[in-house]
Amino acid sequence: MKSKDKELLITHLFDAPIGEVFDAWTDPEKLRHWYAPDGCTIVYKSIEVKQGGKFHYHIHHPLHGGAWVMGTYVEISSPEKLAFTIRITNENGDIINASSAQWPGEILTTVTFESIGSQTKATIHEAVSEEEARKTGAYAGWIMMFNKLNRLLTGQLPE
Amino acid sequence: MIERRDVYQAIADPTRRMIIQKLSAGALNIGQIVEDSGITRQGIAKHLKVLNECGMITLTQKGREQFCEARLDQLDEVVDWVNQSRKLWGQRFEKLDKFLAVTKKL
Repeated sequence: MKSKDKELLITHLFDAPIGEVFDAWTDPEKLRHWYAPDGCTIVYKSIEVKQGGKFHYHIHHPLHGGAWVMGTYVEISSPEKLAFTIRITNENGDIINASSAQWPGEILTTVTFESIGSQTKATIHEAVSEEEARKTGAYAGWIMMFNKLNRLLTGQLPE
Repeated sequence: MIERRDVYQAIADPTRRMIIQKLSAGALNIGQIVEDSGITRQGIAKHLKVLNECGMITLTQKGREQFCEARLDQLDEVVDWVNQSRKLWGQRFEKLDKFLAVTKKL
């Protein structure tokens, strides 16, 4: 189980019914209240919540400045699943190619929601995507691969 | 369009992940990588080129053979990203918990 903390598969149990949780993820007015990182604010320039729809937002930090993020909804299956890609862009939505240590280019995020009694379990799977969801086969694997590598490196797997 | 060449691009493709995994046990020549991979030598060569450009492997000529070695320390960057991302989601969960609690009272 040691490798678990290296895997970007995160789950969280929300104390609300599935419809409300899904709504909080897809309503820009609600997203505004929680989606920004700590100490930051978020402003949506545009958001079109539908399959193939795009969103474009600005994250602002009073000291560190801000960043524009643009993404595409790859899948919206209310209330069970939400998948979208994100990239760092400029205000006009042009992709900024320069990658940094903290930003692996395009990321594909898949969120699944599951009712557990009156609560909702959300599972987030994040992966580096090479070309949007066209290669969906790629994203399931890289984290597993990474874990495997990690275990190999730390001598936990027999060769 | 400028193509990305970094560790993330190296691991974004399933074939390249397979190559990295094979190399994680030690250096191999191209023939050994092709073996049991189900991919042609030409296909492997194409991915090795990308991996090399990404700085994920080093290629060394030994006599008539070319040996590939994975630079696994490059993956540290991915570990950092994973940790950052995990932290961010933690913050969001906490805020959404609070938001859901507040909206429930209304």
